Amino acid sequence: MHKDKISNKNKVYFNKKGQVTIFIIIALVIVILAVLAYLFVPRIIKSIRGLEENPNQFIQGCLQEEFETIVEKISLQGGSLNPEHYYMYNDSSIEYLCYTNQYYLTCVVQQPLLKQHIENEIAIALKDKIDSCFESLDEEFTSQGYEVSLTKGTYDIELLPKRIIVKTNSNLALNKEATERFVAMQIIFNNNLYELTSIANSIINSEATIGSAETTVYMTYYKDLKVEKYKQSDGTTIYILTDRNTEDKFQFASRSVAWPSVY
Amino acid sequence: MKLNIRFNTNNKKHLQVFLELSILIIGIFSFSYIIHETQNLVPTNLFNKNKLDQKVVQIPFEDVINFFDLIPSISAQQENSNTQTQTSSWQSSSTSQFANVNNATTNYAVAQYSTNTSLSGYQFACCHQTKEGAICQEVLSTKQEQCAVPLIPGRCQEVQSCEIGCCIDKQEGLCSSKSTYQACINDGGEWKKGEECLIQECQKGCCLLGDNVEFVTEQRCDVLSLLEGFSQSYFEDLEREWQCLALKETQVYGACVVGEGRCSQESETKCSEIGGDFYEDLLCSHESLNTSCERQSYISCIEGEDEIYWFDSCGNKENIYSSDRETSWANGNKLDKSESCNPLESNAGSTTCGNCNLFLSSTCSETALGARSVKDGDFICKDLTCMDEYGNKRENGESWCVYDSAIGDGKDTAGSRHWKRYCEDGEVKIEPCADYRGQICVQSEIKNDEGDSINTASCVVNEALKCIMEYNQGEEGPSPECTENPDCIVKEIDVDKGFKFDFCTSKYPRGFDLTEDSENEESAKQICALANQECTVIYEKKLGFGVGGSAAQSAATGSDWVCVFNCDCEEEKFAEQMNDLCISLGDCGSYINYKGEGTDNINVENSPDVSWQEYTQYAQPVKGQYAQAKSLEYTGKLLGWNIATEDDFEREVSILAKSVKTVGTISGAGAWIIKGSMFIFPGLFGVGTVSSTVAASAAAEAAATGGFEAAGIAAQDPSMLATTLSGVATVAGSLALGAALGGIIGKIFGLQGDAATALIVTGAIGGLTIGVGVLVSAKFSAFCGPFAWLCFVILIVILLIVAAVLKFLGIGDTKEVIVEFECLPWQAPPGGTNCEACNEDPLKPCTEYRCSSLGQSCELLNENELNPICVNVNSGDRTPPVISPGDIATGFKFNNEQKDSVEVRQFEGGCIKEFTSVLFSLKTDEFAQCKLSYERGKDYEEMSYGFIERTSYSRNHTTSFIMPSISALESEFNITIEGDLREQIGNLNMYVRCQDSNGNLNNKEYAVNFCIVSGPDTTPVEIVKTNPVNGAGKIFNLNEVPLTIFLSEPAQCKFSKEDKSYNEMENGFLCKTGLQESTINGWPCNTLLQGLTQEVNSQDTFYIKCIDQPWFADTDKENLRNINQDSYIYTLKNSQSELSIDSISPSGNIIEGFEPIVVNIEAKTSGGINNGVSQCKYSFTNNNENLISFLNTFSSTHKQKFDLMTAGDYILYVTCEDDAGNKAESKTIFSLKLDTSSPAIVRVFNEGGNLKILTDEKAECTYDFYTCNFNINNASSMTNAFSLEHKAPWNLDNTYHIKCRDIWGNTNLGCGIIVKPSKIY
Repeated sequence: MHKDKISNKNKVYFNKKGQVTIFIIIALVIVILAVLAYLFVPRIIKSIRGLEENPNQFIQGCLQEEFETIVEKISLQGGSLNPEHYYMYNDSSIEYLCYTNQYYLTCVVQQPLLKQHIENEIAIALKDKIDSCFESLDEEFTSQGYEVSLTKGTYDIELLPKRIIVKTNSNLALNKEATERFVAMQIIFNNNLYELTSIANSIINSEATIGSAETTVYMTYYKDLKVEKYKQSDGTTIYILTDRNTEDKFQFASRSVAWPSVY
Repeated sequence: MKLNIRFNTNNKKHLQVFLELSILIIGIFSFSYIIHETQNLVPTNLFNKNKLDQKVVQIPFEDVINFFDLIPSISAQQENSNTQTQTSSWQSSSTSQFANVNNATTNYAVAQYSTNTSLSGYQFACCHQTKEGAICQEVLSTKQEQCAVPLIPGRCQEVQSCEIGCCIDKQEGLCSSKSTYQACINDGGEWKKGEECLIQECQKGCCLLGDNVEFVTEQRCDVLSLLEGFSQSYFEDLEREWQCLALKETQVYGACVVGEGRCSQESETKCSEIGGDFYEDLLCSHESLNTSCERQSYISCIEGEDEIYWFDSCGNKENIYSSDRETSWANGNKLDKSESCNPLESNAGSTTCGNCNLFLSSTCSETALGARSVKDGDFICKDLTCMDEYGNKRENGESWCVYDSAIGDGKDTAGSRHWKRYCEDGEVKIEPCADYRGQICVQSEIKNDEGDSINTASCVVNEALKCIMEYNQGEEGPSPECTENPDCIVKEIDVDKGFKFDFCTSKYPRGFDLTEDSENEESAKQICALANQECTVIYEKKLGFGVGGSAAQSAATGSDWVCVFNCDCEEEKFAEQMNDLCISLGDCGSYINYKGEGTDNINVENSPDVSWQEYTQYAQPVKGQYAQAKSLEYTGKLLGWNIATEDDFEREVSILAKSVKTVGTISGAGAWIIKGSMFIFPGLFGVGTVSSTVAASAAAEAAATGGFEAAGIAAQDPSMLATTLSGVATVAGSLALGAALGGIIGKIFGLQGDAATALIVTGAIGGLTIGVGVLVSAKFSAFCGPFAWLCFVILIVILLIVAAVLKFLGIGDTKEVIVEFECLPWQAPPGGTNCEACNEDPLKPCTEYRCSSLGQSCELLNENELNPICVNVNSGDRTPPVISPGDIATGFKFNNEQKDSVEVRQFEGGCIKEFTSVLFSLKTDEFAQCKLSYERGKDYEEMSYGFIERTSYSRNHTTSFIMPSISALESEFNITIEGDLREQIGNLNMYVRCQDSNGNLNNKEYAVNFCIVSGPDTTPVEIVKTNPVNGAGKIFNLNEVPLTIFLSEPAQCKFSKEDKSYNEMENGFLCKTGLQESTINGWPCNTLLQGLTQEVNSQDTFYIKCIDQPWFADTDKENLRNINQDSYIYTLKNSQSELSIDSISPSGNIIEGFEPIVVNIEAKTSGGINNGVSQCKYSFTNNNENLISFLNTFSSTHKQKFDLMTAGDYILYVTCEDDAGNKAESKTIFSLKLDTSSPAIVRVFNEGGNLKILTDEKAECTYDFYTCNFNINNASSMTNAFSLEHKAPWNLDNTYHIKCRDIWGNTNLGCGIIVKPSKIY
């Protein structure tokens, strides 16, 4: 029992020194691992991701931030990236979608096919980013050891219920052990701009027909929709459409059946 | 003896009969005379002034446009013209006349607006794209600078590229109504006529897309179904959006079991698509399904649904939540909403039932930790009701109107606005109706089956303009539409018999721009001025015994002058009623803002004033008061629907509903306004005429109670003494003859009123005496002699004596007192102590209009932001404005300028002669409002707005002062001015006080001194201006021309074709000689020049002379009158010939290759007054409408270029007019055709060893030896320049593939021809 005690005591002593050594070794290992991780982990992750991520996902990830920024900007500016004829409201240039320069008259629709117009605007705004994303895609898959064959084609934007689709007919072939071809890629982003545009069209129609639109009716029909209407002193009306669930907004200006300050 | 007696008796009877017959005949004439005189001798001139001021109502159309500022650019144009008018006023000579200070403003305004420009003066053109970027906007044809591309003449609706129709994207199945042609085409759409898109391919129906629905066209449904992966399910009979949305709710859902134990709640369609077994109306937790999903695992809300639901463990929605789990689960069967707990309640706040109902103002909502929730989770039916401003409960979705102050009856306060409020998700939201009360909030009530009601409100266009401008055109007063239109009211002005009229005005007056630098100030003045009125009150000098019951009045006033007509105009009710009308026209008159503060903005002369303080009760909104909505039928009419039957009405409503996808309401009842910019107001403001009619009838009535009343009564009173018919005739005839004699003598002596009455009564009594005497007494008959002549001579003598006495006493003289009412634009109270009141209510955000109504120094900050604020920008200002001399008309100067006074003198020094008008201005060192008085020590409130700026705040304060004539004053007012008074008038002071926008008032008056040249007037009259101008041309061979000359002082004028003395001149002018009858140019005299020369290039000369001081006419001072020694020579030239349009080019066919086509129009004129020099205008519609001036005109060649014309047939109407008024009209017809076909090769042959081809139009041709598919630009040419002939070497070894292109670029597709040369040809 005593021996055991001594033995244990020695053991304890030994253990303490050993512990320190072990700690030092562990610390060194951690540092080395950290350095290695710093140097190699991104490649490893990239490599892992490259295996898991297909070109569609890559492009989607690449475009996501820019796409959201652009769509938000276009939505808040009446469907135009660079509004030409606009009303300044809360430091935003809001495009007139229906306008008359006269008093008492109903407005003239300025963007007859609003959906197409917005699609074109998004397409123009995303062009450079899409190109650069495809270049990144090429680089990325090349770095993963793929033989990449990319033939750039055209691309389109399409507003659809609850989503916006970026369609491209670029031809992508990835060849490593086998060849995989991607011909008609579609990148889908969740967004309610289609619905908001439809409501905007209806409001514009009312503005052009009778000079005003009754917002409460829209809200009764569509419970998730909020329609705000702000009249300005020059006869301009700012409409702000909001999806209550997603907070997606679309705002535009109209000047119809305006009235001067004196009759 | 008896016989003799009998004989004598017979003789006497004969005599008597003879006398009676004579008197009877004379009596008939006398009655006729009396009747005639009562019709023609009525002094209507005394009364007919009580009508709406013609100066005000004669507003030409273009000024109405300006009033209502249809287009901002018009304002700008008007501004320029105003500036010019002002400039010319300053440049006017010293002889320019202003009537008096009170008239100056009105005259000034009239001068501004009296240009004889017709509607055609303002022409619209269509601008494809404005510089701001807007497409298809109409601008004034003179405003090219607003347009980024050349303007197209005419309205946009007439220009194809801007024609409005339906834009269709056939591929996508989308339709866009109200689209312009060019914009649609540019966007790749297909454009069709019919702006509402009421065509088959645009008809919408319901598209079922899985669990969702879309209200779209069939084609769109196809597209979406394809994209979503569904087979197309389209219901075209569901034409309304709400029907479509309801379809979503009717879908059958149930448990969809896929494989073993996996289950989800799906629609039947979806379930079959995913290959599951569908169990209608069962929950996945139903025991019979043996799924792994356990019932009622948790609760939650669902997007797009109102209720709280149970969910199973697989995440499937189950039934509506109830704390009674078993009932809610229903053995795994689906429960409808109506079968769930408390289906008829909102269940707001219930802890046991989650059957929320949006239509009963509750919806599912997640709750915060610890907040009240249902028993099985953190959710609750949230109460969505709201409380309104009166503490009343409002349902979710309910809307109602809120007003700042009392509304209606023309009493809406300045700065007030109508507000629509609505309850949304438990929160009160606002929708402000258009500011300046451009919209009004109308409210109506909807009842459900249970009898509960909610309100629904809407902002609709305020038709105030229509009330005032359109409904007062008739001669019979306001049109019936005034009472039909709920936005209008008829104001009944009924002050006195001669001052009585109805006027259609706005129930909710529109607001004006109240800011200091308002561009619309002049317009506001003009609108308010519609209520400017004069009421002529007539005083008559009565006999002491007071005929007509005036004795008491006479005694009470201590004067013989008694008011006989329009007396109530001198009572308070005159100003009250007129101010009431004035307020209803807009922000005019003495009234208040929406906070109950006000200012006085009326001028009332010779009658008690009315203060804004009388109206403070209107600052409070009246509970329960709201504007009524217009009926759909009424709105339909306004929209121009063709409604003959009820079905028509339904059809139109249906069309409108379709066109706005059923979601819009007819809130914008502004169709009349839509057409409104084309309003033409012929005979605008017929109220004046009506008033005149009223006045005339009143005048006749007044006359009946005047001089001829007694005669009438006497003549109609049968004599009780006469016992036979002949006796009655004799007495009546004598009486009438006597009365007629009295009337004639009265007229000779110029007697009126009581004096005329007295004379007629005297004559009638005399005549009656004679008649009775003749009838009953033979002696009397004998005394009177044959025809009773002696007695009537005596009666005439008596009447002459009475007349002379009455004339001497002045009995029957009348005098007028003009009671004036001037309605001015409303001004905000001075200072800015109340500005913050605008920021108090977050539900009523401040606007520029509201802010500026609270005080002169209130200013709005952060205007284009969500929360603008109103602040006092001059809170530290305590300094009153400093007054100093400004400008003065040529020929005068300011003299001896002191701190508080200045003298106005002739430029050379010395006093100014009588009747000279001096236009001058005073300056203030800050914006201020100034008033003046000729009496020292008056309070500011008591002084009058004598400056042209009236109530406006300005740095310049302009007025004119006309040097009074003492003799004219004495004559006009029948007084004698002597001693100190004479001296005072000769050395007058005008005292001025000014107040800045902060209410700082200069305590010490600023005095402007005038002195008048003393002594008799020795200067003859000067002709200041003529219309037409001297030396003008007249229309070719016109026989007569009206001429107006304007004089420097009241005078009478004559003219002759030869230079003669005044008295010898044979033609007269009709001159206005009253002191208050002066116009801006002086006292007008009118005549018609007749017998004008018909000789070509010759002229007529007229010599004009005048004699001044007309009040000395026929008096002993006749010799003091001054006559022009030298005649004013006026000439009028005849035109050389009629004006004619010799040519207009182009005409016929014009062929171009592409659009737009450039067309240069040129018109040439000749003849007229100056070899064809004239102004030409054109129109594409007809000669009298939409005329636009040529770009280059005012010569004999007139040019216009159209840059953007499209192919089609055109008729261009041209109208030209020269300075003399000669007019010519013509037109040109041309067709613009597009050449879109390629050149055709019509002949091929060998000529001189060359291959030669001929084309049917000028072209260039090339060839290739091998193919037709070659580039024409790089191939071998056969042409040197565009030509009909083309050649190439004749080479037998080659085949010529020839292709040609015309000058428009139309090129042969493939080859135009392939030629293989041969030896034989």
